[in-house]
Amino acid sequence: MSGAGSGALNARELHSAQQRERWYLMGSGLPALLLVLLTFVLPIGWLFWLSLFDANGQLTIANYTRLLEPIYVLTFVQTFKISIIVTITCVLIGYPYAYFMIKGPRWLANLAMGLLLVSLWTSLLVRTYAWLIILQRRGIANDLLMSLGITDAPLALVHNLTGTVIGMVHIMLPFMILPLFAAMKSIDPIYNQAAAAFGASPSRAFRDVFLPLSLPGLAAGATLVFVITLGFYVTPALLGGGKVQMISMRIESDVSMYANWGAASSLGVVLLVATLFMLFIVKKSAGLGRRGE
Amino acid sequence: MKRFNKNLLKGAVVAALTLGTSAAVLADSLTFSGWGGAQQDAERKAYLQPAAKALGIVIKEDNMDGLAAVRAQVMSGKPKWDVVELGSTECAQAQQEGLVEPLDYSVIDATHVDKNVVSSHWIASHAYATVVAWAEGSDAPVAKNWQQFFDPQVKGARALYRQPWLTMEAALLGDGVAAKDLYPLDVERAIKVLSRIKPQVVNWWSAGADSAQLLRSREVDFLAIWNGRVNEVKASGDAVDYSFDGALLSHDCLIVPKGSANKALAMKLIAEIIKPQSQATLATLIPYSPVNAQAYELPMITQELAARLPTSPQNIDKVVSVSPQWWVENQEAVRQRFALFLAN
Repeated sequence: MSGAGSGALNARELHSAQQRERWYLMGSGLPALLLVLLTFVLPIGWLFWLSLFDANGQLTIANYTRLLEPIYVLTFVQTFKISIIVTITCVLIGYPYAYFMIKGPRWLANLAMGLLLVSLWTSLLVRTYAWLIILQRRGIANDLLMSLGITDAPLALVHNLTGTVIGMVHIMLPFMILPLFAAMKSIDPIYNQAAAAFGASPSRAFRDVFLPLSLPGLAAGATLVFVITLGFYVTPALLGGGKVQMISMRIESDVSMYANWGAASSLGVVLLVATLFMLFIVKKSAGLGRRGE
Repeated sequence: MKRFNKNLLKGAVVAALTLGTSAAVLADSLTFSGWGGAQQDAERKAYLQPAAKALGIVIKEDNMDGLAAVRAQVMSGKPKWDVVELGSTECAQAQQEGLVEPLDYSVIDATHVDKNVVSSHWIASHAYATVVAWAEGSDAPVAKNWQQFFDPQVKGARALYRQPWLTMEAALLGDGVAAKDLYPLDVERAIKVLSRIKPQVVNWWSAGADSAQLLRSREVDFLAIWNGRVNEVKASGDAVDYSFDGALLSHDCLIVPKGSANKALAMKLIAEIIKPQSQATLATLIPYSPVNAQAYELPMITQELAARLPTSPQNIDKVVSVSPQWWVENQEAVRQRFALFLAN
C-alpha cells in the first residue's frame, strides 16, 4: 500500500521534473523568439497596417485597388514567371550536381563543393557584374560562340530575360544544391545495395529508392530558391536592361513616387500572401510536408 | 586651504564648461545633405568649405538618396538636415507635398538665375544636360541627333534612360515637336515614337555610371547620356563624341526641410552656393554647369571649359529646358504608362 503510494509520488515528481526541464529547454529558445517577434512579426504587422492608409492618414483600400492596374498585374505575372523558370532551371542543374558530389570521385566531389562555396561567398554584386561582362555584345561568351562558328552575329545574351535568368540561376544554385546534398548524404547506400540485391537495375534503384528519399531535400531547395527569387532586386535591375520588371523594382519606384509608405506596403503584403499561398499549394499537392517530418 | 583649492577647482571646471558651451553656441553649425561621392567632394571644395569660412560657421555633411529620405526626416518632426540637394523634379514635388520651408530671396540673390528654376521654395544648384552621344569609327550607323535617334531606319544598338522624364521629351523632339511646344507632353505620341525603336534599344539604363559603361564597352553605338558622363569617357581618350543640339537641360536643386532648426543660416548657405564664384568653381572641378549666368564672366571659366558646359553662352540656345512642374503634376500616371510600355 505504502509502496504503491510512494511509487505514485515518485511518478508525480518525475513528471513535474520532466515538465520543469521541458520548460527550461523551451525557455532557452525565448531570446530567439523575442528577436523574431521584434524584427519580423512586428514589422510585418506594421507593414500591413501602413498599407491601409493614404498620404493623409485616412483609412483606404486604394493601395490595394491600384494593384489591379495592368502594370501591377503584369509585374506580378512576370515575377512569378521568372521565379518559376529560375527554380526549374536550378532543379535541372542542381540535382545532377548534388548527385555527382555524392557519387563522384572524392577529389572531384570536393572540388565541386569548393567551387560552389566560393561562388556562394562572392558578393552578389560582383557576380552580377561579372555576368554582364561575360554576356555582353563583345564579351567572352559571344566571342567564343562566334569563333566556334555557332553564330555569325553576336547574340543578345544580356539586357533581357535570358541574361537575368542566367545571372539569377548562378546566384541561387548553392541554395538548391546544399539542401539537396545534405538530404542525399543522409541516404544510406545500403538501400541501393538492397535494391540491387533484389535485382533492380541502377536506374530502377535510382528511380524507386534514391529519388524518393532525396525529395525532401529537393523540396527544401526549390522552396528556398523560389521564395528568395521572388524578392530579387539587384540582378534583374542590372542584367534585365530595364526590360525585366520584378515586384521589388516596383516597390522601389513606388516608394520614391508616392508620399506615403502605404502604396509600397500593399505590394509587399500581396507578395507575402501570394508567396505563402504558393507554398501552401506546393505542400498540399506534393504531400512533401508529411514526408519531411 | 584644501577646501579652498577644491572650490577653486570646481569654479574653474564650471567656468571652463560654460566657456566651452558658449563657444559652441557662437560657432553656429548646420547640416548639408547631398548625393555623396565625387559630386559632394567637388561641392565641398567649391562652396561648402569657403562658405563655412565666410560665414564663420561649421558645416556638417551627410548623404542621402533622394526625396524619400527627406520625407522620412520631415515626418519625424525634427529634421537633422538644414539644406538638402535633390534631383530634377524632386524639389518641385517636395514643395507640393509641403515638406519644405520657403526661401528668403532678400538673402539669396537669384537675379542672374533662369527664372524657370527659381521657385518660392527651391532653387536650382547646378545644371546638366542629356545629350546624344555616339561611338566614332563604328561600322554601324550612328545617330547624332534626336531625329536620327528615333528613326527606326538608323539600325544600331542604342540605349535610353529608364525613366519617362527626359526620355519622352527626347522622343517628341525626335518626332519633330518644336522645343516651345513640348509641354504639355503628348504622352501617347511619345510612346508611339518610342515603340518604333524599342526593338533596337539594347538597354534602358538607370544609373549614370552604367550609361558610361555601355558606351565605353561599345555595348551600344549611340545613346542618351548625361553630358558629364560622356565627357568623362571622351576625356579618357575614347573615340566618342556628343552634341548639345537639342540637349535636355535638367537641374539639381536645393531645399530647406520643413522644421529645420537653422533656417536663417540655411538661407545664407544657399546664397553662398548661388554666388557666381561658387558656381564657376564647381564647374572647374566637375562637369556640372553653373545656373548663375554671371559665373561665365569669371576668368576661371575658360573658352574651352565653356564649350563643355550646357548653360554657357555658346550652348544655352541649343538646349531645351525640362519642366519639373509638369512632371510633378503628371508623373504618377505617366510613370505607370511608361513602366507598362517597358514591361510589355
